[in-house]
Amino acid sequence: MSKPQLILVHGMGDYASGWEAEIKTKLEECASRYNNLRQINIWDKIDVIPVLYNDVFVDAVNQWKAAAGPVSAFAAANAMPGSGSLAWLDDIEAEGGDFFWTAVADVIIYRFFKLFRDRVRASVAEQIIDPLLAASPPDFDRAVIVAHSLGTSVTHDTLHLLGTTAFAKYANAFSAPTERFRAIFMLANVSRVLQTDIKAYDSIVRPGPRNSTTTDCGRFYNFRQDVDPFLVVKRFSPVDFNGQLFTREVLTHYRHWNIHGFTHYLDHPRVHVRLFNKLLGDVVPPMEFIAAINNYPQFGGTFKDVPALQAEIVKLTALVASLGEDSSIESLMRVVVKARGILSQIKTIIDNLP
Amino acid sequence: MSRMTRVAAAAAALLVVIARPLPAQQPVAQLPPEYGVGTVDEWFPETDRETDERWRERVAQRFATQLADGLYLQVLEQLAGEFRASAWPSHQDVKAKFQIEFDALVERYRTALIAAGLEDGLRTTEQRSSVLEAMGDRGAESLRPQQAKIPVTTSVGPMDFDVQFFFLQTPSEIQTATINGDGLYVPLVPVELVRDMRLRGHAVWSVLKHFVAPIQNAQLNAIRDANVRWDNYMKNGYSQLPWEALLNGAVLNFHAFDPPDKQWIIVHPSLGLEFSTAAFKTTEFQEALNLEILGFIAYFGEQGKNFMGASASIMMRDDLGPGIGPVVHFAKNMSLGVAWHDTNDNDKLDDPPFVFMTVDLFRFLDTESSKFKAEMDKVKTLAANAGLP
Repeated sequence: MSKPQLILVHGMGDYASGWEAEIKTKLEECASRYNNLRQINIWDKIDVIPVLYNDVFVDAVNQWKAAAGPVSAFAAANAMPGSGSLAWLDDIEAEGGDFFWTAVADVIIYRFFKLFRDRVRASVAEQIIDPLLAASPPDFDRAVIVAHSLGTSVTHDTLHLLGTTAFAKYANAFSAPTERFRAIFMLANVSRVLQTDIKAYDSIVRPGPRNSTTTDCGRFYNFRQDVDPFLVVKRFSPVDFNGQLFTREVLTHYRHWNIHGFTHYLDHPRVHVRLFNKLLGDVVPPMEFIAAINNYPQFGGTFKDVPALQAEIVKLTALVASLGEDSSIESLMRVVVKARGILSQIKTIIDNLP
Repeated sequence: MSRMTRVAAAAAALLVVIARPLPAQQPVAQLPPEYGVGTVDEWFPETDRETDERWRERVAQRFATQLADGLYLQVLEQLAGEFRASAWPSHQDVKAKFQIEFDALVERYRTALIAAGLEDGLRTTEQRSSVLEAMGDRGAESLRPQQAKIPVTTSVGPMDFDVQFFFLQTPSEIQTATINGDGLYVPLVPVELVRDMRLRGHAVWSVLKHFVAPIQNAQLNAIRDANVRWDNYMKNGYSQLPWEALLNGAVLNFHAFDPPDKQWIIVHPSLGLEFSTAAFKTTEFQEALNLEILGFIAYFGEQGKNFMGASASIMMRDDLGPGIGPVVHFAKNMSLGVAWHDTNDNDKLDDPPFVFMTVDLFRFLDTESSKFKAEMDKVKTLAANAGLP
């Protein structure tokens, strides 16, 4: 029997080959909560395709650090086309330290450097298409994509190009209705705040009926954690997506210090039940899904019954509230770095719990 | 067995299958996979694949000659005819909708073939591309189902659950199941009939996949090739400092998945060694800082492996005033240039020129630093063992 294919696209941060192991472990734990999945190894029934593009940013950052010196040298180029003023990077680098270089820099490079952006897109396109065409039979309708954070923007841009660009002299053979992904899950979707040449609301990366020519997937899910600082500015909130095929939900759960984390999103039944059902065919029936939601409190794990942690969440909520829908990327990045400080404090509290 | 005989046998077998009594449409906690999101390949039993004439591999065997000759229209017409000839014991309205869409698909493909002038079969990738192009604003190429949500009132409030539809949001829409207030599925079309539509839709998909596969493979190869060229440009080419990368991204013309084949150099420092041509026999190398003010590089050769370019540069060293001159880039890591310094009389061009070599520092460090560090560690260890400071 052919298996469904789960394409995983990571977000910002330090990722290397094998990064998907953490995601698989989390999904195994989630699967163990459900009757039809408890007794099976889900990886016997699903092929995982991890996508890795962080190597491009590592190259860029190495050049940046080794040859360019302080960020201010780069900011001196701020009059160049498309860059806008980037002098604020100095402050953020000083405040963010390693976090700047391992995470925020990825976002900055993807957003402002077309050269690296296009290089990432080409790499991701091959990483998605190659295994799909190598499968037997090659069928995009078996593929479910889960992208997180920066990966949502990378995925969005790549899929749009794949489905709209004529290349190798031939008419595009990856566009709908010839090919259509079964479902796309966007966790912490930043495709709108980072959009450049491809606009998130105008692209083909949206759900549509099977024979639609302007949409590239059957179902589209968008999940946002309520106080995720990355998702305050230019939220992904389309009004013209197909209502029968588009699901958008705000999550309010706290389980881990990194509320922006990939696995923190996956932990919520509203996310992973939909994912399992799209991969394995409604294996979690409606009644069990409802029960899972009912039994999933807002504060769980280490957050449960620890007032100090919940107080930090209040601080985080206030910080995020300082941003508005139209705040600049500069403001967003400043808040992200500050939020990282609060999250680090949460981590410290958790680490010191008896 | 002739093809007509095989088709008749297939129709007879199908009649046996669907003539079985249909189960009552009772609410159930879970539906068979026919109603699910999985493709037929994911759930169709291995035991049925040898015998069911609707299974895509059997279809491929039955129409092997036509598929090899690119006569896809003949195959599609035949498959549509088989569905028309099949007998459904109930739900004739559902069958009629599926037949309308089946016929529309065949007609759309026929129209594209005529428009492309390729009614005699598709033998080349170019011909397939022409037909794909001629299909243009198509919209009748799939007989496969999809899932879409329906609202259900539950104990946690209104929720959406997915059920299966064929031809969603069209006049031919077929909903195969629903969900009641208890969260139980209720089939709306019997499983045998859903299976029939799914097998036939999947077979049509596989025929169209056969049609489009050579184009997809060519386009995958194009993406692979582009990635090799990207590596040659970004990893093996002349290094770019952040402001250069920003500039090149903004001003060079490249699009989709292809890398640029050019590169501007602007305010690019590098270290070099310089000597005067005035005294070759007693020449002494002097360290110098080379600052390229403005330059240009072109990439060429197989997958852009090679590059060549030049720039105007300033050479700076401790013992002389700044020199000016061109630098030529012709190999990875290394460049060669000529500079004129003012050595005695305020007129640079009166003096013999200096020749210099520069090292692409980042590329050098990127590729050689690990070896260099290993060698340095060895030396340090030896020095420490010998009691040297």
